[in-house]
Amino acid sequence: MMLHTFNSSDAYRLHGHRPSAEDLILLIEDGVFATTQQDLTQDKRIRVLREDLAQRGLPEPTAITCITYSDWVRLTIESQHCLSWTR
Amino acid sequence: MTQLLFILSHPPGSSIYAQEAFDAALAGSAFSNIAILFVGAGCLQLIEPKLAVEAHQRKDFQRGFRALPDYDVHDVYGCEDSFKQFGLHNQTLVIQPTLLTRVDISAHLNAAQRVLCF
Amino acid sequence: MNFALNIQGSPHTSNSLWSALNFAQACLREGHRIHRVFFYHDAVLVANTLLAPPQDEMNLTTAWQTLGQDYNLDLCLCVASCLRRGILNDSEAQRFEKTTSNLAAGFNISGLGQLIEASLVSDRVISFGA
Repeated sequence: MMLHTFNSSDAYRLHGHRPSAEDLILLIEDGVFATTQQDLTQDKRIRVLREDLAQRGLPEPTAITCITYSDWVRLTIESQHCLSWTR
Repeated sequence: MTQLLFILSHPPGSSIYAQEAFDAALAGSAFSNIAILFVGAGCLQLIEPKLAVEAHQRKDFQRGFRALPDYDVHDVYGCEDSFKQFGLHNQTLVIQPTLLTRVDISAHLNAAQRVLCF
Repeated sequence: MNFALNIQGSPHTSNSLWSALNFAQACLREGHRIHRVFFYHDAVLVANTLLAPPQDEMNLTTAWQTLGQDYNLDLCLCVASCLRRGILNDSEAQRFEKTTSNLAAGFNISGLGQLIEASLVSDRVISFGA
């Protein structure tokens, strides 16, 4: 399993198809804006960094798993590689 | 076996990130067995620059791609999807990487010891 | 577990130094080790001791210095990235005949080999892109 982080909604739009079915997707920084732009609830691989939602005044989407930095650390340990996509 | 896989996804041009990312890959080649994967806008680095060196703000670091075999770097890959997306099949390229499908890319990531994203 | 962090974004136009700081804090809180924090690209700008942000704004430089001191972290900057962006320690300032050096305390300047070594010996390498 790989953990793919996206730090902008453009990065998610451009590279969002890359993660395979068993991978996880983590939206961080401006990547959390993707939650306001499209319906992500169908994709069970998606996680959103809670602190970055709060920092931007966004509500926590009910059907998506929101996680803390400590959860992020745990996910990196469970993942073979952590890939950072930026644009 | 690939010890370090470098993912290069910055476009060339306005920022120096693409050039610096390539420097990191070259540094990696001095210490380990590396592979390079051009993905997304990073594939645009492969287009042959057409202006004279003095007409650039940035240097033509892409010429260094041709020297990769001298650094013992032979595994140079490009994302097939990105090549299609950016119409790179019709462009003159500095070097021709081995194009990988999504499935191939996953396999290479799985096989790499570490992955560095730029 | 042993982590290596590869931070790339500017303190002013990216969140990557902030994300990495919070990630590092969580990591250390959970009892993990950080082999090295490597600052690359514009991320080296955080180590400019001449930065003087307004009092009511986040000071990333001091935040990293504090974390580095508390956990005895290796906060390592890429020398090539630094020279391009004018982050100089005393010896580089002297070598390039500059009137001042500006490397903030707690950070050190070294080569890309440090990123490669950290990536190879750590269990996980996490990149914080620009």
